Amino acid sequence: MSTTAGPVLVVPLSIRVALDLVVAGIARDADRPDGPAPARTIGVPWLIAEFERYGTAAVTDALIALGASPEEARAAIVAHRPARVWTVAAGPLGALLRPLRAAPVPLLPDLSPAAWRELGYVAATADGVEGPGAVLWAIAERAWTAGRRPDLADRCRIGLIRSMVATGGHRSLATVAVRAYRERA
Amino acid sequence: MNAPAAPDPAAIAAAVAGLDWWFDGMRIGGPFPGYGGPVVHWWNHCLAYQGAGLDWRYEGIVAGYLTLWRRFGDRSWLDKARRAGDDLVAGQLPDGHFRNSGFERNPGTGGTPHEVAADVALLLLAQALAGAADPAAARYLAAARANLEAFAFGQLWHAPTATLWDAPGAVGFVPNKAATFAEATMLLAAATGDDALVERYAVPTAERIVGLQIRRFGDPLDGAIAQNVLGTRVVEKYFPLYIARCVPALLQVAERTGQTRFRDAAVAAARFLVRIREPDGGFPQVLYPRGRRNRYPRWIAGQGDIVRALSLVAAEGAPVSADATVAWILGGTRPDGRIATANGFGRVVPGRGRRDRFADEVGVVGWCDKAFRALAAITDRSPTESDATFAAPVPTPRVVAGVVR
Repeated sequence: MSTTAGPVLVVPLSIRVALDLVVAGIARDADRPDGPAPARTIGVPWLIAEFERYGTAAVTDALIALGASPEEARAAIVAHRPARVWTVAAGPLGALLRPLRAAPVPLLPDLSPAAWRELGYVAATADGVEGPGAVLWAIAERAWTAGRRPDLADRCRIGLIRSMVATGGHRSLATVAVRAYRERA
Repeated sequence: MNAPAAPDPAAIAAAVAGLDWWFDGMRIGGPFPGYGGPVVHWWNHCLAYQGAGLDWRYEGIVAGYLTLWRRFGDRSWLDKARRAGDDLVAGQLPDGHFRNSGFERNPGTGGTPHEVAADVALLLLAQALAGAADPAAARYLAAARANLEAFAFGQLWHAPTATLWDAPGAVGFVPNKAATFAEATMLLAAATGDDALVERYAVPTAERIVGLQIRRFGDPLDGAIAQNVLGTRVVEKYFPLYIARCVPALLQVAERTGQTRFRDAAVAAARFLVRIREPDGGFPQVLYPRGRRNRYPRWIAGQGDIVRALSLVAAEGAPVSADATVAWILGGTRPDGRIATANGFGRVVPGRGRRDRFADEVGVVGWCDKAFRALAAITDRSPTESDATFAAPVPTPRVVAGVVR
């Protein structure tokens, strides 16, 4: 046994929610009990490591691209032709907010819609994490903290957490985009 | 307004039997063996991941089963405590961390106070087995020691200030988490005979906790302990549950050192709890300065830790009763044996409550363990004598940030 514990990684909330969405989506798709990790995952190593902690449903014919570059995603899709592809990528708000963040999340944009069409895939689901609603809650939290109202700041913090999944038209503006694609029939 | 409602002994026994039944139903095999299921919490929920979590849920499970074994002599209770201990040993990583120890932040390692709470579980088990001359005690002691040395002593303890930080490299102190650390340290000291651990870790921790306690006669917050310190800033939030979790450690340090000021602090904290308790036996979630508060969610199962704190202080002769809170917990029992998590999740944030109403009824092992530990200590009959029957556990939908997927 080592005498020093390994580093403890604090996963940004937006990334945790994005991974939760992928896991929940896989469970919904696969409709099977928890089992070994998915067959093929590409992208940022620490994101892959976090994802593997879920030990989520086995999906033998899916590719999960977690912060993968468009080139890496394209190469994996061409090589393996998975029936389903999940992507966690930067959304439009991500680039806008990056300068304001102490520890920006290093996600790259998804392949363009034209590229997906060219590859023979269509979008199945599209979710956004940390949309304008969540950003407004975060601003309110900071304002109430500065105004020495921790009771209201706490409510805003919880409002922010409960609003991390963007709904309606806000999902296309979010900081993190979580999408599923399937092969065109 | 704190008129105690005498708890019904049969209801207590049935609740303990129900929790035992429900815990068995919450055991799962993947991604590794242990107690699984959803987590709902004040800040965040963990509902996408519902696999095993090696976190503070083990504290109450092991303590509760050991209590039943000691009180009623049935070997099966000890076997269940050992099974839980085996989960922790098997789920310990080579670097000393426990797998998925983050509770509401699962899946992830390095959860606080969750890993030291798991150590408490292991050390209680080792203590019980050592008392029965069972050589298996060494295995559980070794696992707890490895985690404490690698993580709490090795990464969280800041020796120059004698402070347990909340996270590696993060200058912050959280009394209730540090109290759990102090409990683990004192158990380790008792198991190894190394009394220096108490002086080095437990006493400075207790002193720091007492330093964050409000002692102003007539102040509504008299006896309350601030939630945490960030850098040098005291965060003036007062959560009854977390204040209660400081009480056992303060009493234990008082007993070990003979310093009555720690006992006085524990009694003051208990008096604060009794003073702010609501007529139905429940507690507000959090109090702030100048009379502000957020009542919701009002914990139900988790209030077991308040019952434990009040019972320990009452045993010291202080006039505090846990009866009303026991009755409040019993009101949360459900047909499948679980105890509901809370009342009022949907009222935490005006306008956003609709997304959160479901959370009240969710059964969470890491809350029910607290009720189990508290009720196991006061039931007057073995759960095996209960003729109550229970339904199968209710599955929880996978919800991400309030949206059902």
